[in-house]
Amino acid sequence: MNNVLLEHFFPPKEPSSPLPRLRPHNSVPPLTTEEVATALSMCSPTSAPGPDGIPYSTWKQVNKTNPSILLQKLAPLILLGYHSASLKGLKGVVLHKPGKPLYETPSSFRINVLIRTFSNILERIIAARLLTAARLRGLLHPKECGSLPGLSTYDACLTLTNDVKTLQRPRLKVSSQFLDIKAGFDNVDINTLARIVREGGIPPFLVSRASSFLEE
Amino acid sequence: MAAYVHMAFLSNYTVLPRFKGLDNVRGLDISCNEPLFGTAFHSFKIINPYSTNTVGHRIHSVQPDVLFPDLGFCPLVVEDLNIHNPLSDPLRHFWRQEISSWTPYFEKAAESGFALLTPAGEYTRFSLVGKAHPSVIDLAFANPALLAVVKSWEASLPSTGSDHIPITITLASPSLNAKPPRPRWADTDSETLDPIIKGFQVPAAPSYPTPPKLDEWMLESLNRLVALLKQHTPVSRPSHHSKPWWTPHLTVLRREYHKATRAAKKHDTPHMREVAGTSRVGYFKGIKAAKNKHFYPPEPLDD
Repeated sequence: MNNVLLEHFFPPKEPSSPLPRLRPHNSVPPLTTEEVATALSMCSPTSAPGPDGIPYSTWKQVNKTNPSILLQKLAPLILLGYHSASLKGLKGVVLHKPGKPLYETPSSFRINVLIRTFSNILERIIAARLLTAARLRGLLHPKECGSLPGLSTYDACLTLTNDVKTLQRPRLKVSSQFLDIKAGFDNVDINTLARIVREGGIPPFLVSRASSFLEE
Repeated sequence: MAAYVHMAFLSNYTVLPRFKGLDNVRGLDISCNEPLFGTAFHSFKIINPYSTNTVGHRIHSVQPDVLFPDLGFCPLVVEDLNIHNPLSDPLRHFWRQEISSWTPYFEKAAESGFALLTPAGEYTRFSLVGKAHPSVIDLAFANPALLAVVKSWEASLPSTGSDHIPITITLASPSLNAKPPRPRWADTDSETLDPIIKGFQVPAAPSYPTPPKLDEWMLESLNRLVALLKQHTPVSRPSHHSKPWWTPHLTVLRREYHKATRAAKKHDTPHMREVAGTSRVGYFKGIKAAKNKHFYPPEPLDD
């Protein structure tokens, strides 16, 4: 069953060609202590830690005592646009989806993944930079609510309700269609994604880092 | 008495009712081709007696010898014994005849190596009429072979209409691997660690590295830092029964509470009763505070 679940949740990917030597990208804004502190402030001290067992509260204390440690460890990864393979280790907890008549197929389970908290700090910094770049270039749909700070499903519901009522007022017939792409995020093609964001004007170090993050 | 078995259970296990010619004792023999719960046993028995009493609390319809047999395989005894005893209900006041009533059962259980599963003070019977105090008269015992696989005893389900509430006993393979020690991050020795962290030097990242070289640098420097943090953090070795929120202060409070309760029972004076009551309130408030502190820790203030 372990192997079946692993293949379902982590489908094997095409082996990527080995990267040549990594070179620092041009015009990458240097990482600042404020960025690290902001990323840490968004992390809950009670979140379950990943494989190394270090909680966010400990990283907060380390950063408070000596801010240069996290800065010196994270800055090269941002400058080189690379997500280290050593940060990709994770701890997965398999949970039963409630109310299933039989638990014989992988779709009856969900997996709760815990990554290294250190890796998550880097992800928050990158996410903040990616969000700024996407907003500057107008890449976000005005009604986008997913993974954006300050917005949630509640806002998405309100937006939909508002659209429906606006159209109903002049007595128009309104219907909604919802589309769910099965395993959509698991099957994103790295090259296609990189091409789209590059064409959108996202800085190369962020594109390179996103590709590196999604590689096997 | 009736026993219900889920059909899915019968596809893997053989379940045979067991009567033994006694009106008040029912049982189930549960067996399987494979060894059960990671033990060498292929079967175990559940003995379920209903013991009624007559002449006050003195004569019971089911005798101790029937309940705690010396069997080679695992028996589990779940019973409505209609006896009260201080192990399962420590706060109850016992009459002399009640004490003489439970003694033979618990002596026989001890002789046969049976352990009581019912936690102290967990009420299982709530009178539907009158003002009778809730009581613990549904007791569960397991012999040493089965005790290792008893995972939990719970009385959390609502009543099904009876004055007795349903009891759930979960059996599962014992974990052979001891849980790894868990760092107690809240107790990190900051006084010693902070100067070391202040002087901690991250080795310079290689310039123009290959991905494996950068991975190696990241892993090595991160592991060095993690090892340093763990070195100055005490660890606890949790068992299946340990409570992560328990503190040494609660141990003291519990000791004082039991001491005061025993003293109040021995010297039944208003002062002793008041002391026992105060220590009880202090103990349970201490548990509540420790749980709150553990599960809802205050957010640290960021500078």
